[in-house]
This record gives sequence, structure tokens and C-alpha cells, in this order.
Amino acid sequence: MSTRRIAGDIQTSQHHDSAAKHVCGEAVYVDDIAVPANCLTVLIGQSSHAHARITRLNLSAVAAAPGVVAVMSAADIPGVNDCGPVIHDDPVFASDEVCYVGQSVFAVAAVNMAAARAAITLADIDYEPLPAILTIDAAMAAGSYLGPPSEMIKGDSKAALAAATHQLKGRLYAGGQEHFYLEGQAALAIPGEDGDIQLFCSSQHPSEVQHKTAEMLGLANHAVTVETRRMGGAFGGKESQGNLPAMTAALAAYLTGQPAKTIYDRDDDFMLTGKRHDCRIDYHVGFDDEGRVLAVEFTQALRCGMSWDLSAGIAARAMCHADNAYDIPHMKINNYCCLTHTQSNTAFADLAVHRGCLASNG
Amino acid sequence: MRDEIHFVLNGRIQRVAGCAGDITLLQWLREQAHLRGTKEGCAEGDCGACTVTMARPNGDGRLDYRPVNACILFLGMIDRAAIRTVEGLADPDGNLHPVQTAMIKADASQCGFCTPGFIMSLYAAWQNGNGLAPDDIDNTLAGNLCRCTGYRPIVAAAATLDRARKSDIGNSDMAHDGAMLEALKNMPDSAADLCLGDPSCRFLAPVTRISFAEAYAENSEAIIVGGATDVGLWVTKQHRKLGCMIWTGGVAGFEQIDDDGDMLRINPAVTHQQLLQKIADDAPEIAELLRRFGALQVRSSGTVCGNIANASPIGDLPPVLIAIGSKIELSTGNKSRRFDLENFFLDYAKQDRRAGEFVSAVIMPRGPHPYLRCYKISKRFDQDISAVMLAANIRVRDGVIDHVRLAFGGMAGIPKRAGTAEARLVGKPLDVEHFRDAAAALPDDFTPLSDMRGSAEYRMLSAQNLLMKYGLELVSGKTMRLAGDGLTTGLEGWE
Repeated sequence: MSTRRIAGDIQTSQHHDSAAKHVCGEAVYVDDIAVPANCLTVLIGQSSHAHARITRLNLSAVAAAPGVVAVMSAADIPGVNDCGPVIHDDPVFASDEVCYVGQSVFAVAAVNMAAARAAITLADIDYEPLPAILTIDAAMAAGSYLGPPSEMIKGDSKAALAAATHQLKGRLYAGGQEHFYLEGQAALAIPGEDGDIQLFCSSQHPSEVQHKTAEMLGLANHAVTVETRRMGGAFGGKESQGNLPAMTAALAAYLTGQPAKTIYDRDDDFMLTGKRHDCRIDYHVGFDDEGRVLAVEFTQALRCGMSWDLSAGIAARAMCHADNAYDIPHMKINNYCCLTHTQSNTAFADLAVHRGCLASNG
Repeated sequence: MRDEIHFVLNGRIQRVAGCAGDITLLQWLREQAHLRGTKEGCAEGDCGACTVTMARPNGDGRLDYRPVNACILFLGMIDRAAIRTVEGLADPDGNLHPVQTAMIKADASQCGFCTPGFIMSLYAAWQNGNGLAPDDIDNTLAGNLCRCTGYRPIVAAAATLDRARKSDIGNSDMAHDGAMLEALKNMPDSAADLCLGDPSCRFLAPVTRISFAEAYAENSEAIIVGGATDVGLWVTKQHRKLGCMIWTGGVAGFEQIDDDGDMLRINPAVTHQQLLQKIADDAPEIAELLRRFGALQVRSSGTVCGNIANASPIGDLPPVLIAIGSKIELSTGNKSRRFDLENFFLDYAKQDRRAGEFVSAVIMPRGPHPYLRCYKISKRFDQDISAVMLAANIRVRDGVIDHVRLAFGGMAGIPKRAGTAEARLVGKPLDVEHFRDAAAALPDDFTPLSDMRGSAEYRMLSAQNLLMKYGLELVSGKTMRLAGDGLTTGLEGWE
């Protein structure tokens, strides 16, 4: 038999195709791309309130600041003001109401970062604070959910629990987690012919960036081209959360006709982006003298933040994996997607599988 | 006065003029030199993605390679140094450096963003000839974060380098040292003071003690910069405009530790790493504290005098320096005064430093300090700010404790001795019972605060337990430490 080998075949140990570039500093990330001299720096102006009504938004001083080329808010968006991946509940710029500290309210496009930093401090915004719900406990107490709770049932947990020799009840909490991809969120937009936009993104979902950008600008999808060469880490944090930096860069390029770059520094990245869902799980388990689990009821509450993002799918994972590797004859799982006035929590490596497994292993 | 920085970058002499006073080396590399292999991960000296090496001649006529975080290093601080970045390692024919080859062979990169920083940390160790032994690798790489969880192959790559280096001692990099030393020695106008930036933000680098004192006398509002491991963040994180900075690192003699056999004189630009290496044998307790203090990049930039002058209430060095009876020297142009370091800290954010005075030295007893112990409680074992820190030192004569210094950090607005607790030990035999008695007196010495690092109750209980631990360790002659896999040595009588 022939032993002809194919390059990259599974029989041969392969090094990373970019390894030599990584170790020489030649691997190009978005912020490393050489840009034309007129490339603008985009910086997002963030909400200082967890929950408030915007009663006045005056950005004239920002626009007049040295080095500022454009100021953008909801009113400047020609198409749809939304960057949400599934449900359209995630504005690019908050218009009437802010729903977390750090939420994007406006953005400035300036000749460099120093000018942009100086300019955003000049924004004149009045807020009328509204009650804010920050924690799972507060959300559950207030009945603050993104949608109706979900329920999964197998057998008759109520009867099986009542009949079990032993029962245990308890509650556990698991904290959130910041992705801390070493490369912060990054996008570069270059305006092309006929109003086209070319985007270079550090995104796990370039096609979604394309669709959302086109919707925002009122363009056909083909007018937006998205290229993702590589990411400096993502772990789920650049699945939907990569949309906002890309879209703000695209909007700046669209409005000014100049290339524009949105690079979150670490502090802004922490404030703007969603993280792993923290959760609270109540359990009620019935078992026999030998420790065999006969019935379990779980009530899972996930802190989703101010919008859906990918939380529906994540909640489904938490529910579907709640029995882990065990055969439990009678189960009932209730899941609550808590609406809180915090960053919209998002995908994070394994989604919420281990959140679901946690209680059954505990 | 010179307005042009001179340095060697990847083997080539550079002269740079007209830059801002507060531009960082990372900004300059990426934006002006278009060398974008060096990455920004955090811009606060924590993640190491921006690591480059900075080499200066040491006393032995060789180059000493420091791994440094370019993100918080002001450009003026590379004056008359040799900088190497990740782009400058492969030879002109494109052959990779052994450090690079080892990382590829071990499959030690995934997303690749942290890789340049790891490469440069390994390169510094390679050039210095230490830090690659199996027990040293974690220490060498502690200042570099990888988020794709690639530490195992990275450590494996490092482990192959120790032998590779021994068989490659004639590597071209070593040969280049001579040429680089020559280039650094012959820098034009290097004897002239440096002034960068414009009136809105100036960076002054005097080259003599006299011109340093003059510059500070003329600019009494200036910020004195040592390693910029804190001041750098004022710029990159707080976006402050500092007006005028005066750097200690360019002054001839400021980088030296003077040793008269009894006392060490730590001059203003001496780094934590320099001190660590100097005292490693005589005072291992202090060396270990310095190691935990910060990663190699931070220790290689941050200065001892800067740490004192900064006067953080939870700084780790003041308690231990106070515990061994160190003195501080403050100077103006022509006058100096010297007093006990513990008297320098007056109140929260208030020190006994008069207008125009700068910290010109810390004078510490050389050691050994047989009864000195340093205990640091922090949320993360290494590279974290203390919640509570105890540096304890006693002297025992004829079985009786006749001198006691119990210096705490994190228990008050300043690093402070526990006078009441100390008094309970003086004149007593070395007996656990008296340490228990002293611990019970700590509430008379301190009323700690609650903050994110610990509640007041936690701090007090920790402080009392640390003092008990000190007594138990001295009495039993054993030490109890967390190391590697956990508690390694237990103490009898511990309840």
C-alpha cells in the first residue's frame, strides 16, 4: 500500500502554523495592522449609573475639543441601533435609559487616544437615577427576569422526594469570571468604494459582525467585509462582545470617510463587556439508605445582566447538563434568567455546562 | 543640557529627540518605531506581554539584562541602555534564537499574544546565565501571564534551555555584548543632563548628584521617579499629566549599594532585584519577602527608595526595614539628615519629608538577623498587596529577650510598631506564653480598617496569630511555611 503522506495529516505531529511568527513578534493582531496616517481612534463614553434615565445629552463640548473629528450617539445611527446577537435588546448607544455602569452612551473619533481621552470627559449628561438591581438575590426577590422561567421535568420529582428515606436541601453560589483575553477587544474599519466598509476584527463571530454592522448602517450585507486573521485570546468573550467595538469603528469610518480603530484598553474592557454568568442554585435531593439518588429538584438562577445576549442558550446548557453523568429517575429543573443592571453576561468556554454540573456533583 | 535620548535598539544606536516627557517605551516602540511585536495586555505592569530587555553595564564590565515592562517605563528611562525587543532576536540571516526555537518545539504558543513577553523573559535569563534551572523557571516566568493555559509547555520549553545554553556559550549574542558595551560607552554627550518633553510635561534625567539636587530645588513640585512601577500607572491608568518628573536612574552612583561590612547604603536608584541578590545569603527572610513582592520585571524596575518615598500604608518593605532598625537619609542640595525609618511615617499619606528633600538613601544593617521573621498575608501568595504584614525581630541575651521590634503593615495608616505588645516581651524569657500575652495586647496598639483586602476583625485576628506563630517558630526552632504543595512543616503545640 502506498504511504503517501498529506501535509498536515493527522499522522504527523504539527506545530502551530503561526508558531514561528508568534516567537518573532511577526504575527499580526488587529492593533498591529499598519494604518493610514488619517486613521481615527474611537473611544466609547460610558454610563456612570447602573440604572437611570438620560434626561439630557449635550455633546457639543466633546465635538469642539481639540483633535475630535466626530462624535456619535444613538441619533447618528442611520439604521438599527442594536448590537445584540440574538434578541435585539442591546443598543450600540443607550438612548433613553442606561442599564449598567460602563454602558456605551456615545463615542468620539479623534486623531489620537490622548485627544479622545480628554474629549470624553467634556460630555454633559444628566441622569435621573432609577432603582438598580445588581445581584441574583435582589433579582429573584424582585422577580426581575429577562423572560419567563424555563422548566424541565422527568418523572415525578414531587412524589419521589416525598417517598425518599432521606432528603437534603441547600443553596450554592458560583461566582462570575472575567475572560481576560490578553488582547483586548479590537477592531479596525476602513471605508471603501461606494460606501463599503472593510473591517478587521478580533472576533469569534465575523459573520455576525458583518450582519449587525450592515443593519446598523442600513447597508446590504455585501457592503461589509469582515476579516479575522487571529485573536489574542477570546474564550467566548469575543463571540457577541466583539460586535460593539467593530460597529463603533465602522460607524466612525462611515460618518467620517476615514479609517477608524476601536481598541478597548483593559479598564474599558472590564467595564464594557459581559463575563461568565454567576449563578445561584437551590437543590432538593431525595436518596435511599445506600446513598442512591432518587429524585432531585434544582432551581437555577443566572445573572444575565441587562440584556439577553447569549443567555438563553447558556441557560439551556445549564439545564440540560444538570444531571451530569448520573441517571436520576425523577428530576425537575427550574431556570431563571435574571435581569440585572450589570454588564450583559455572555459566552465563556463551556458556556454554562459546569454551572449545571456543579449542583449534581456537590 | 541634552534633549535627545541615546540608546541601542536591537543592536543599532538610536538618537531620539522631540518626544513627549511621559511617552512610554511601549508607545514609542509601537507607534514611532513601528515595532509592534511587543504587545499591550494590561498597561499596568502585571501581564508581561510588553516585556523587553534593558541592558546596562554592571560593575564587572558585563551587560546586566533586566526584563522590564515597557508599558510603564517612560522612554527617558532607557537613556544610555541597550534595548532588545522580540523582533531583534533572530540573527540577520533569519536563524531563530535558541529561546525562540525552544518555544516552537515545545508547542508553547496558542493565541500567541503573550508569547513575545515570554520570549523576552527567557532571553534575559539566557543572557544573564541564571533563571533557567528547574527550580528557577517559575520565578523567571512569574511576571508573564498566559490565558490560554499554556504554562506547562512554556515551562517545558524553558527547561530545555538550561542545557542548550551551556552548549551554546559562544552564541553570537554573547559575542555582541562586547560591541554593545563599546557602543554604550561611546554614546555622544552622555555626560550631559537630559531634558525631554515640553513645559506641559517634562522628563528630567540629571547625571550627577549635584545636578539632581539642583533640578529638584528648581522644580520642587516635580515627581521624583525611580522605576515608575507606580508613577507609570498614574499616566497609563489615571491619565494624569505630571508636569515635571525627575528620574533618579541616570545619576552616577545612585544605582549602587555601598557595603561597609556592617551597613548597606541603598542609594536612590537601587532596584528590589539588586537588593534581593545582594542580601540573598545574609538575610534570606528579606530576600523571600522581596521575591513575593513583585515579579522579576517589577523587581527589576522598582526601587527601594521609591517604595519608601511612596509611603504606602501597606508597603511591604518598611515593616521589615523598621524591624531591623534601618535609617533613612533625606537630602537637599547641600544638607542631609539621617534618622530612624520608623519616624519617617507620620500619618496616612504624611511623611517627615520637608520641601525640597528627597530620599537619598536607606541604610540597613547588613545582617545576619537570626531572629528576624517576615509574615505576609495576601489574597494571592505572590505579587499581591498585603492585607497584613508582620516583620518581627528580637534580640536574646542570656535567655532573656532584651530588644523587640514588631513592625506591622496594613494595621494602621502607616507602617507601625506595636509598642504595647513589644513591652510585653521585653525582659521575658523566650516562651510561647509571653507571645500569647503580647498578641492579646495588639488591640491596644492598632485599630485596623476594613477594606476589600480584609475586615478589621480579620486583620486583628491575623496579626495576633502571626505574632503567636512567631513565638512558636522561635521556641521550637522550626518554621512553618506554605511552599509548593502546601503546608510542609508543622509545629508541635500549635492549637
